[in-house]
This record gives sequence, C-alpha cells and structure tokens, in this order.
Amino acid sequence: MRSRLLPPEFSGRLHDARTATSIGRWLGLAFAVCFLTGLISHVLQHPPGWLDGDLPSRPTWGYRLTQGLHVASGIAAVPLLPAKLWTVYPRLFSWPAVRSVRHALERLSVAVLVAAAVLEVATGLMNTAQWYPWPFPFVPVHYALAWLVAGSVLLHIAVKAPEIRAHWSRRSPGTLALPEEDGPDRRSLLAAVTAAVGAVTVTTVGQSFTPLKGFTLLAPRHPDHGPNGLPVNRTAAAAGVGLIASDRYRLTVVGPRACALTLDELRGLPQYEAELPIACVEGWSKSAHWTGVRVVDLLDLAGAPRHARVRVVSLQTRGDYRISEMGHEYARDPLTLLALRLNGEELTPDHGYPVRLIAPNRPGVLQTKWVGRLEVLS
Amino acid sequence: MSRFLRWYGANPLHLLVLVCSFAITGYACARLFAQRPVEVVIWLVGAAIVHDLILMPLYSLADLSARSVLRHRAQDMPTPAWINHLRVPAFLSGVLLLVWFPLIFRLSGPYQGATGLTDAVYIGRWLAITAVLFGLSALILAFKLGRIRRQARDDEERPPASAGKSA
Repeated sequence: MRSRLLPPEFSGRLHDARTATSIGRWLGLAFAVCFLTGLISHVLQHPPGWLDGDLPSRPTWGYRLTQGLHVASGIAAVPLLPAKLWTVYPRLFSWPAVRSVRHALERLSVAVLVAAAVLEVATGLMNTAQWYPWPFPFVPVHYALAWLVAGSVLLHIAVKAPEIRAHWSRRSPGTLALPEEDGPDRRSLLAAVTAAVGAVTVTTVGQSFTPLKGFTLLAPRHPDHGPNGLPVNRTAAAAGVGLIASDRYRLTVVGPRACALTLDELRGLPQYEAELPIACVEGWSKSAHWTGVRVVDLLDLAGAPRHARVRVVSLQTRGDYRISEMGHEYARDPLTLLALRLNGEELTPDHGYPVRLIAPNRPGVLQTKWVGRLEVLS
Repeated sequence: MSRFLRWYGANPLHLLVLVCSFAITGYACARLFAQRPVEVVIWLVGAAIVHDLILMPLYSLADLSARSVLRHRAQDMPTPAWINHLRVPAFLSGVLLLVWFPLIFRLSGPYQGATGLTDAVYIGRWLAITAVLFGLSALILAFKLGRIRRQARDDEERPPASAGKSA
C-alpha cells in the first residue's frame, strides 16, 4: 500500500503558479530594494579601498532615505516570504525527489535560496531589535548572505521565467488554465498578505518617515523619544563615558600643526548651524538642528593638506565604532560639524557631550560621539 | 545535442546560467564561511528546517483544527464564510509578533542601554493591537450574521410569488 505521508498529499487550494507569481513579484521588488540600499549602506560603512576618498557627502538626506527604505523593505518582506513559501510548499515533497541532473541542481539552488532568504531577513530584523542570539558576527554574515540571496534569486527568476510569463496577469494563458473558482479565494489571500504588509509597515515606518510617527507602536524607536527630542543609539552609560567635566575636556587635533583646544576655545571659534538628519543603520532617523565648529576650519588650523583623510576618535571606553574615518569629501564639506549644541540646547551626555561629529549623508554609527581627538591622516 | 538534452534535461544555456549562479554562490559562501563556518551552516540549515518543517506545519495544523472544531459548533445557525474572520486577525497579529517578538518578549539585552528607553511597553501595545484586530473582525462578522438572519426572516414572512407557482 502507498504511504499517505511519503509523499504527502495536499488538498488545499492556491498552491499554484499564479499565486506564486503574484506574491513573488512583490517579494522580488522588496528584495531588490533591500539589496541595493543595503549595498549602499555597506559601502558607506566599509568603503573599499578604491572608492575611499570619493564617497559623496551629498545629498544630505541620502543615507536617511536609503537606510529607511532598506529596513522598511526588509520588514515588508517578512509577511511576503512565508506567504510565498506557503504557496510553493507542496513542491518540497514532489516525488520522485530527483528526476534529472537539471532537476537536482534546481532543487539545490532553491534550497540555498530558501535557507539564505529566511536567515537573511531574520538576522536583519533581529539586528534592528538589537537581539543577537547567533554565535557569529552580524555584519559580515548579513552581507555575505545578501549576495547568496541575490545570486539565487536571479537564477530562480531565470529558471522560472517561462512560468512567470505564463502567469503574469489575470489574462495570461497559464492563469486562464487554472480553475476559475479559485479566483476569489486568491484575491482574498492576496488582500490578506497586502494587509499584513500594511500592518507591519504602518506600525514601524514612522521611525524614519516622521509624518507617520503617530502610528509608531512597535518600532524600536519613536522619533520624539530621547534626550534633546532625538533618539540615541548607545547612551553615555553604555559607552562608559558618563558626564565629561567641561574644565578637564580637551580636543586634540593631530596634524602638521598639532593643537589642543579647551571647550571654551571651541565655543570661541566661528559657530555654524546645520539642519542634518541622524540616520541609524537600524532604520530610524530624524532631522535635527545642530550648532558647532566646522571640521574644515579645524583642519585648516592644523595645516592639513586638502586631500587628507581624517580619523575621529571618541572618549568612549566601551562598544564598537569608537573610531570613525572620513575622506576629504566629508571632512571638507561645509556642513560637517563638530557639534556643541542640538536643537538650541547644549548636547546631553547621551548625544555626545561635550562634542560630537555630525556630517551629511553618513550612517549614524559613524557620527562619532564624545569626540576627543581628530587625526589628520596622510 | 539530443544526447545532452536527454542526459541533462534542458538545453546547454540552462546549465551555463546554473553554473554561473553556483559560482556567485561559491564566492558568497567563501565570504560567508570566513568566520565561524560551522555555526553559520547550522543556522543556515536550521532556518530552513524551522520554517519548512516546524512553523509551516504548525500554522497549517492550527488552521485545520480551528476549522474542524468550529464547524460542529456552527451547525444550528445560518453562517456566512466565517473562517477568514478568524484567519485575518490571527495572521496580522501573528506577523506583527513574528517581526517584533524580540522587543515584545524583552529578549534584547542591549536595548535599554543603547536607547535609554524601556522595552516594557511593547507587549501591551501588541496585545492591544491584537484585541482591536479580533474585535473589528468579530464586529464585521456580527454585522454579516445579522443581515443574513434578517434576510432569512424576511424570506419566511413573505414567500416569493414564484415559490407558490412551482409548488
């Protein structure tokens, strides 16, 4: 007698190519946006040597937009991915398991795609909540998985192109060959998946798209919650700096004409204002009003050559991103400040009192807080 | 060519694209396994197993049992298609939980130190959203039921003229 479990039989409806195509299109779009914006974020944070000096410091809102899209599209993929996998689930048990070499290779590539996509979305999501249950470093694994997903998605689309074409619209030949009575159920399923994408987006996207901040119920940050009316990532306590005494503070500038400036001397230099967003790699962002000394003025004071790179060193004792570097595009941008004031008030310790870096189009983790030293590199 | 087709199952272009993709995959894997390869493999395979062999069968089973249990309770009254009134709020609430369970269950160790905020608010918010979703769904179903009952009563009170003729 033939076993009912191996291979299992699926009597449910909608495990068909039209449903898979409809959901797959949106999932493909979400993955494409997520991959490209992720690539931008990776290059800005870990620039390859050949690009190092040429990363653009404009537009000022660039990273805010791309990283907001990165996290929003990744979160939108969370309902889409299980819906897509549910649609094609019976194929996991297709029998015989391997029909030809081609079939074996295709199944292998689908296995890679499914495993990599699930882990990629999961790791990205958990990083936004700062929960790290895995034993490997997040950034290199998330980045490598992205290439794994991108490669296997491209292959998947190439292999499935005839089926996708046959089921692209409601009037495509493949769609018309499917049972007509499934139509209303399919529309209900797609409506529910759309509603789920809407639900996760609406409760979250206000963390960067501030007009929707009133609906920010489940996102890790609310744009208005934080010291100086701005969220933070890593408080002074977590960074091990506490309150830095203003009379003991010195900013050291290391260069051809090295110098050390007290806080009062910094306040005595020409002050500039800039409206710049703080945009976190975790997806939240908000624009703020900064006042401080231009980095380019300090570089001129230290006699830095025009194309010099600059290293910014924090006084923090704990945590990653204690040191950041920037090319001349950023260092010489007139909007790049060592800020002393935020939204009309002195910086709070959590925002980097007494002095922090703020530059346009730059990931938040590189906007070094509690700056103690600027080093002019060759 | 025909021997190749028979042996491989598709034309050579298919094989070329496939080999190209596996080369990219290999490149990605070289990066992927540069650190802690065993742990990465465990998590990669684990992700597929957790989804395909645990989560997916679990929610299918939940759907099947909900339908078989509630079918018997609902026999004595005229009902519209009701299963989606259960599925939709459960799906939406479940997806929100899937996305934010590390915050809702306060699993993130560094969260408070990093943000200066508390993550104690999330479980209440998620429960409130869940209540609103199920409540709205119940209201809509109640409205539909009311309409069906009214229609049934109206039909009884004045039987259509055609019914008399055919009887």
